[in-house]
Amino acid sequence: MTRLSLFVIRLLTPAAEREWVVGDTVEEFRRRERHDGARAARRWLRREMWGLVAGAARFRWTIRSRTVAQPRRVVGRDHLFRSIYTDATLAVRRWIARPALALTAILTLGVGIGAATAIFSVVDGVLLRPLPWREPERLVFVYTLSPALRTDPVLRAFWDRGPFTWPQFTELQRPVPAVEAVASWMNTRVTIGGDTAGGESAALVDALHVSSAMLPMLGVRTFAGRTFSAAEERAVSDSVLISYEAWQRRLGGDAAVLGRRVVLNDAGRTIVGVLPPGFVAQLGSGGELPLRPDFLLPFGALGDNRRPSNGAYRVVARLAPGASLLDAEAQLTPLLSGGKDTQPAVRVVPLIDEQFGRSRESLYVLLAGALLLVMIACANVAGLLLGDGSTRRHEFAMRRALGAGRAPVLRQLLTESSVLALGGGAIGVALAWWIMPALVALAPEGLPRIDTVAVDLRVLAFAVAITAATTLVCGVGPSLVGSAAPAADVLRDGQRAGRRRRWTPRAIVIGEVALATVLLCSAALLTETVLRLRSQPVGFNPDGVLALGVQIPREDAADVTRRTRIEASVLDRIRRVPGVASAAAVAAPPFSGITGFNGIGVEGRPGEVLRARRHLVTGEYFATMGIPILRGRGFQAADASWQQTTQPPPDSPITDGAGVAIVSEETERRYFGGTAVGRRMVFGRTRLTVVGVVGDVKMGRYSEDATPEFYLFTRQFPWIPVGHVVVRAADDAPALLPALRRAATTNDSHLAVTSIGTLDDAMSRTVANERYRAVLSVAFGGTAIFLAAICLFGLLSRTVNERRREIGVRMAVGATPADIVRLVIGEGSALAVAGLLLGLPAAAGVARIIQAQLFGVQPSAPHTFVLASLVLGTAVCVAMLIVARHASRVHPLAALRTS
Amino acid sequence: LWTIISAVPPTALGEFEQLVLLALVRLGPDAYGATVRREIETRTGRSIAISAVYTTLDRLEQKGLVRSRVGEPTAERGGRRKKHFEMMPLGARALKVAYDAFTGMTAGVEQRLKALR
Repeated sequence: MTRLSLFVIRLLTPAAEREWVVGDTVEEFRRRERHDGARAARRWLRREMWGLVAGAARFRWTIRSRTVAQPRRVVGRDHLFRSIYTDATLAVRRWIARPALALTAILTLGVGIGAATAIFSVVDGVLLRPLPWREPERLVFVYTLSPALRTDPVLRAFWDRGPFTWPQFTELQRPVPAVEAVASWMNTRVTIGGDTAGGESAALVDALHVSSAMLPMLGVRTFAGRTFSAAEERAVSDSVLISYEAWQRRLGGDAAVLGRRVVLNDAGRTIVGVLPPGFVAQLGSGGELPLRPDFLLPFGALGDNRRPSNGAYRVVARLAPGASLLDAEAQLTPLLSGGKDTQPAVRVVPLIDEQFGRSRESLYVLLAGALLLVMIACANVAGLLLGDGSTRRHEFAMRRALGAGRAPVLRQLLTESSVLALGGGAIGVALAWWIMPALVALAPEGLPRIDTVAVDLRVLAFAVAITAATTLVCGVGPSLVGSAAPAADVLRDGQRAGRRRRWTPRAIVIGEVALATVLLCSAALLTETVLRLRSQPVGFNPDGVLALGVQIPREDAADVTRRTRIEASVLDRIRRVPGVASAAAVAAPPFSGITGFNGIGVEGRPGEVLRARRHLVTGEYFATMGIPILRGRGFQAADASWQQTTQPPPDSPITDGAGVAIVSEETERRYFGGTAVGRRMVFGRTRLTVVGVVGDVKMGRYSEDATPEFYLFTRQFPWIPVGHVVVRAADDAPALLPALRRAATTNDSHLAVTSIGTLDDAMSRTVANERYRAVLSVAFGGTAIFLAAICLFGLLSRTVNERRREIGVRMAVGATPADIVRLVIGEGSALAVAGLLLGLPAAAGVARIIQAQLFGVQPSAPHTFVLASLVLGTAVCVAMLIVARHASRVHPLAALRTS
Repeated sequence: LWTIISAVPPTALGEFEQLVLLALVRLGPDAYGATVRREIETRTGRSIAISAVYTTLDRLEQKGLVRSRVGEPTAERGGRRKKHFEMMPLGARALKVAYDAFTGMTAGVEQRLKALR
């Protein structure tokens, strides 16, 4: 610190006085060291330094106000700030004198820096910032492995990420050396009633069941009150924690919140604590939405839901310091198997990997794209400055001939470029500020922590770093070139000395075209991915179909007769809404994020439990959704003559009945060996007859494979609730939404609409990730190509200007305008083709990198590259034609006269 | 020589210039940047920048009121040399004029001035 202070003082003192001033300072420092002690002396020195810095800043201010009257007074004195200031004012004046050049450069840099900064702010907020938990790197998710599910057509994806049952979770809590703490959670939604519902009669809110160890393990401290005790996990408990936001919103920040009662799921509960502000359950794995729960409930609140068969307990653990994932797996496995099994039965995954694994790669690819854009912008500006520099070669050569060293010339050029970069940086930050909300709004819902993204100091620091790098890239290159040629040559004939150097701007154009090609090809591939996904057949016709979910209060839902009556009346009311062509009830509409599945038995395959997705529908479902009935028939009213009103106990004998089922084509192919109609299958403890075969549908993603499915008639199985209604609109689907919402709850004001929207919206949300990447890459590609075209335009028009005389001569001896156009286009297209030839292999390489993010398109698909080349070619042609038109209009006489 | 000097109208001194010249009078042959600064700081109780001392001394030198000489390097200053300053007749005259003006104005009212707050 002492040395640094002294160094700054040295730096800021004029050379003429440096020796005595520094000497005096050292002397005074030693004296103070002796008298007041080393600390006081150091403090004095620091104050001394800051005083000098402030003085220098003031000085800069005063010379500025004095410059008009005595402009040269300060020049020539060896003062760092003064010379920087002089260079900077000179640079600003220079750029003001060339507004077009300066503006182009600043805007170009601004776009590049803005794009990079905006993307960085997202990457930073989502990936780079530490999680809000204590030591998040030691937090892991624990999953159970079910190797049997590996080949299961329905549950394949879950074989290595299963939740645990209550007894299993209890076992996992036994202490082992590698694991410090184990906790469990379960997402849920609760209806909230009474005066806390916020005006609505019944509202459905997100909530989270957590074990008592959860909050201490994450390092979350309550804002007020306490967390759950271990006792509230075992015994039935009515405690509840409220989130800070819900406390403010629902209870108006009531100071007497602790001990207050709220009604959740029709049961009164006591608030024992308030969570800290901004608590988000960032625990969802992979694509799951981060939850903003209003309430946290103890496991004791689950009551009978803790029975052994309910495997819904997600487990998170904190590893002991230094323990590895493998240690944890090896030590947790025997807990579950009672020490018998040596095969690993659990999988331990770092929380960070699980949460960001999917988005990490694509975000980094985007960041790389943005940085590529910055590179293009830099190249562009470097090209511009180079062109400018070649006209200034004479100036620099003259200065050097008069004895100026290379350093001052270089410093001046660097100052000039940093003035541009600063302007670009300012515009970039403003731009980032402006586009960031759009980036956030556009982001797929599954992107964790996207709502915490903000342009803040870290992001600004990034922008500053980028700007500094830009300055160097834009400034140093051209300055080296600009000051390299022997002064004498330049002064003798600037034109001739420049011949050799024209390759640099050409190389820049070629490089830019190549980079733009890379970005364009990636953009084409990612866009095609979205289009391919969206054009995937889903097995039904989503146009004009709406889905809405209705939550029935618990006490009504518990009674089968009452519930079925409410379900029927809701469906009936919706059918009568004008504009509804047809409507059907269903347990889980496609792309709603809900699926149910069951093990079924098939005639002729005794003892086998085959898994298939279960649908519960009313008769109009197939017609409403546009799912084709391929063989046999759909459900008919007559089928309702047989009913099963209660679920048969799991150990009861299999009974026959008049129950019917419809299976999907995949079920028929996979389980029935080709013909299903007329054959029997077992659902639960009931034997059903397959009466029809319908087409396969996709339920969650466009890219999913055909999955075995079967349909049950809801009127035959009233004990299974159906919570949704699908509606086919006669014409304008979105316009029906308010009427549908009203119709669902009229007469039954205690019903809550849980979800409502067009099927197309729901489906479109599932490709949000892909669309995000595509939109951004198209934006990058578009900007890149625009910049490349501008660069080519600049180069060509400069060449034409320099060759004005030649063009004049050519035209004078009989060249037609077409010849001149050919001349320009010849040069331009040579550069563009060279850039393409360089860019296409690079694009193919990049395509392989992003292969994992592609769907339905090969990374080496030739049509992508052809398309990208065409777009690029068009842009290049436009740039060339403008120049060529201008060149062909050169009047030979005028050209010859001016030179 | 004195007649020539006294013929030149004395330079009006700024307040800080007066302080610096007074410090030179007090310090005699031991006057250089650090001691001048220390003298003013301890006697007036205000904190001043070393560069201000040098700027003022340079200006006074340009006007011919003081002159400087570069001393020998000393170990205590890290082998750096001192720049000593000494009063010139012109400076002495200017200071005298300033001092006379001050004492003239304060004569007879010292008690009241001291009572000021």
